[in-house]
Amino acid sequence: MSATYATPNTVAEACELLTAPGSHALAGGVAFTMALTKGQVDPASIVSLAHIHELHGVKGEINGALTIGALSTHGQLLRDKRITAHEAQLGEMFADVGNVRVRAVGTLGGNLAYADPRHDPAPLLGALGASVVIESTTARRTVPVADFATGAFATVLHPGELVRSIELPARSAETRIGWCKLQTNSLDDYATLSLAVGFEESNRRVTHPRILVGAADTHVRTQRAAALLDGVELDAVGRLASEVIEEVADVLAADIEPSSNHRGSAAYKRDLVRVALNRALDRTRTHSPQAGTFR
Amino acid sequence: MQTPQQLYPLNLTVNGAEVSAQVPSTRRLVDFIREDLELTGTKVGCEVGFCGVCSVMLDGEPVAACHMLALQTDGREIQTIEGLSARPACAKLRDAFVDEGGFQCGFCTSGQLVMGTALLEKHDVCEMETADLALAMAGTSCRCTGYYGIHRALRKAAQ
Ligand SMILES: Cc1cc2nc3c(=O)[nH]c(=O)nc-3n(C[C@H](O)[C@H](O)[C@H](O)COP(=O)(O)OP(=O)(O)OC[C@H]3O[C@@H](n4cnc5c(N)ncnc54)[C@H](O)[C@@H]3O)c2cc1C
Ligand code: FES
Ligand code: FES
Repeated sequence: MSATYATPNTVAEACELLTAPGSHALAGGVAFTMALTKGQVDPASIVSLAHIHELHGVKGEINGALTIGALSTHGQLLRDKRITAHEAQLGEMFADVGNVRVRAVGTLGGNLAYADPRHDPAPLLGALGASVVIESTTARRTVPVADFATGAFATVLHPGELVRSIELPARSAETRIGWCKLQTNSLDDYATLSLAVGFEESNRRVTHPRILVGAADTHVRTQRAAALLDGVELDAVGRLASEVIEEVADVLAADIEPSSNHRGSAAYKRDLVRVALNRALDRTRTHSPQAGTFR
Repeated sequence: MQTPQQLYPLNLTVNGAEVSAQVPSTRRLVDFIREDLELTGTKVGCEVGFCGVCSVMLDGEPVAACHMLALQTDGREIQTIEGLSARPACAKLRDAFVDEGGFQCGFCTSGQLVMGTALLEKHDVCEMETADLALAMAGTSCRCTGYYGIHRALRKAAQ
């Protein structure tokens, strides 16, 4: 096995190289190198993205929308004031990705493209209505983060395509967002279960509800559960009736397909959905930081 | 028939000295450091990013050499435990590890010193709560000391 190594300077060159069978993009190399160690990949060619200037950095629009370059590291994003001003829970989420070494080199583009169901960014970014900008030699297309992963370790990316950036839309004053990450091992471990909920508050009612569950080991269909929130009334302090929350939690618990592992049994993870949903919904109203966050 | 491994040039600074090498694309940084450069203070443990024994400084930031390719360091600067005592925080921390019982078997110690040095350089460890200190050093495991000696050493070095 002898893999070639290329360091293109433009997206176009990289996409061209990535059309070859057996070629792999290399961003921070965290997931890729571990896959090599475990013998899970046998690359014919490695295409390092590091020298592509246009994939680095965060750009802000006048209206508050943000374009996050695919090569932005978790560490850069948790320290970026524009990101935390957009949504404080994003700062917490990035601060909670693995350990300081992972955050120093792991990129957001690589995290999404690897599509490990245990990863943290996708649920919260999905709840915020973010999209993935995908580029190939011939076209550019935009896919909502919520639809980007099609299963565990599977995405909508075709050969020759790469993630260029992640777009966070301008934040409306009516948007409510809640995120919760539950860990059963140490705090630098992956989530046992994570959940993000988002909706627009309109005349004290929930509109455009979305729920994304992470770390449930499979791709999770949450449309059935989210639909139950549509049009539901919020009380004077923005709370939902507890019967509604119970009903949504029941549907979510039925629709996720967790497996039993050292982080907990499948039954336990189904129970955790209830806890995560309640906490995430609570956080749509308050902005107190989750305990156990160090930057 | 096996095709010969293609090699790529790698030029970097290691512990202050310029190094030029030829490596296969899939060579991990940790193997390059230990086997090609014969700097065996950097260890191999879990190989999945959790334990921290492979920690080195890359352009002044701690990284795990087990989940990075050697070629990713081309044109950059790494510091391994062998060269780290050039940093004042490391020299202080090393002495504090001896005074405070920061190690027993010593297998994790080079990683602890790399991660501890990075922490001391960026944060006021004296002001940190114990829980924050543990979180900041998360991902740098020790199976011997129970961490108390390591925390005492970090606080002593910060004084
Ligand atoms: C100890 C440890 C703990 C961790 N804990 C967490 C955690 O708590 N939460 C969490 O979310 N993650 C966690 N991670 C995972 C980590 O965040 C990801 O591995 C990392 O973000 C991947 O990014 P990368 O840049 O290193 O990707 P790479 O390894 O470079 O690439 C990963 C994959 O994506 C492809 N790829 C990369 N960039 C692009 C692109 N721009 N376009 C198309 N394809 C691309 C590559 O070809 C490869 O297949 C942890 C990892 C470790 C080692
Ligand atoms: S060997 Fe690299 S973190 Fe354990
Ligand atoms: S001293 Fe033995 S593992 Fe830390």
